[in-house]
Amino acid sequence: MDVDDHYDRTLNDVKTVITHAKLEEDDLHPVSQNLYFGTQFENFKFLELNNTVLEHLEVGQRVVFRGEEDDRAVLCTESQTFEVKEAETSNSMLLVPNLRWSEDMLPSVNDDRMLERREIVGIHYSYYELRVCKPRLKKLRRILQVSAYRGSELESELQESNVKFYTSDDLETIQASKEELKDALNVIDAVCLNGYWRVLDFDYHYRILSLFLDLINSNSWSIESIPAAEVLSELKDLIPELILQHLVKIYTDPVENSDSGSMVKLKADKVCRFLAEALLRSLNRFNLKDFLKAWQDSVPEGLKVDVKQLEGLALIDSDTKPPIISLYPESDLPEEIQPRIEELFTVREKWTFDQIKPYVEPLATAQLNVNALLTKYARPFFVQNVKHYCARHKK
Amino acid sequence: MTIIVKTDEKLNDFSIIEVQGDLESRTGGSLFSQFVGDLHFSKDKNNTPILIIGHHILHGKSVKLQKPFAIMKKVRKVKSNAEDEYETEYIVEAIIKKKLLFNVRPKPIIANVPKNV
Repeated sequence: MDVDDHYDRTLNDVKTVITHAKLEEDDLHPVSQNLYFGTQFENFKFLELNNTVLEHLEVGQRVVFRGEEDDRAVLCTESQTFEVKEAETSNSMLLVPNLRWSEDMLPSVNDDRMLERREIVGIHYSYYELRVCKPRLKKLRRILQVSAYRGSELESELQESNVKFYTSDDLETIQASKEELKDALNVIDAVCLNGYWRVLDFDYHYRILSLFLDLINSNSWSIESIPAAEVLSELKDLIPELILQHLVKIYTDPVENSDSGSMVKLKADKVCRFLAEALLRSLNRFNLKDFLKAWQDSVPEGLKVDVKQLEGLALIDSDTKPPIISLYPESDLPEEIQPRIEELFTVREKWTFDQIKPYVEPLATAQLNVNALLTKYARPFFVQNVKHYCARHKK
Repeated sequence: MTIIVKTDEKLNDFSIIEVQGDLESRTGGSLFSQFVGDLHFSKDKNNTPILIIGHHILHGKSVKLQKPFAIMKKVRKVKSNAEDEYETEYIVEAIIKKKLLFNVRPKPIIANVPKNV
């Protein structure tokens, strides 16, 4: 399309063209807007909004782009994370301030046409689109692992080394919303010590949990009714106070209506799962039957182990004789669906739905649930009426 | 790195006019300050927008955007806690919920057609 040379549009010009275009002036609203390019274009960016982000911006709440240079950009609200992708259009989007729409038309004065000048302040061919996604949290585990807490006697050594410690502010580059980050810190049992977020070193974690469980055992306390105050005073010489409080917090729930109000009960599944991981870490692969016995023997009296507690942590291979269990933590898998699926089918050619679900579920969203993800990235087939999945493209 | 996106205290009233293809200067020169065309609205029941650019007439329509656009401007400013450090922010200057879409082929306007041919 062509653009005329610079000049100021007159009423006469407008009317002449209306006639040439075989339009009737009476059929047109009385305000005609003459479009000009501005003297320069502002460098605007277009961001396509979904309802969530729109609502945030409309009430004046902030949203935040997060990530390091190598990361693929995400945009976070307080509670959600969105993948940001640049999209292009073949059309030109002209950005025009103060355009008068048909519904804002003025009544005509003296029955004559009115002209209004409008300026185009930019021509745009691309915009950023948002897609809801899961927070990218693998990095969180990785960076906190370096400064893992190994016991008070090793703290000064760690402080003097070049190891980086992370405050809440430092964790802002993690590609997650504030709420998702908080949840993730809970999941990895992180604790805030002197303003720095720390995870517990696995061996240290095992040692202090064992002290706690031994104490319960030696006092013959019921796992449903443990006096929290006594735990804290009995173990205070062995475990620093903040760590001890953290340990009790992550492994127990308060007992409601307890007399003193300070009785707690063990989180059965969490204790069992951790002790299973400790066993699996020592040997990696186990004869399932031997493992189940050793595992049951390792947990406090009153707790019952169940393979369901190991979802997303261990794989059971029932096709081998004897059946084998091996450590296979979900948290070690890639965070993107495609490489994750590829890895899953490298480890095992075919999976039942129940087997693969714990490894796919963390990537599922409201729009794409586990079934939808598997339909898209895997091939279903049936063996004796049981649905299995294999890779879409056999190698 | 985090880049905050915040809404300007007073939003601008911006609109999008979307046309097929590209706008080019007839003389190949700079577009800045040049006249582009006339925008009319018909009084028909759709209030059809009519855009006349050069010798072309385009009939369009007003379209509500399923997903509105935030129009953001990148701003670099001195960090509040460190005078020699800069931080980048995006300021949302407008939120656009509808556009004028001209996606049909432009029709030529033939002037000076002799009458009664």
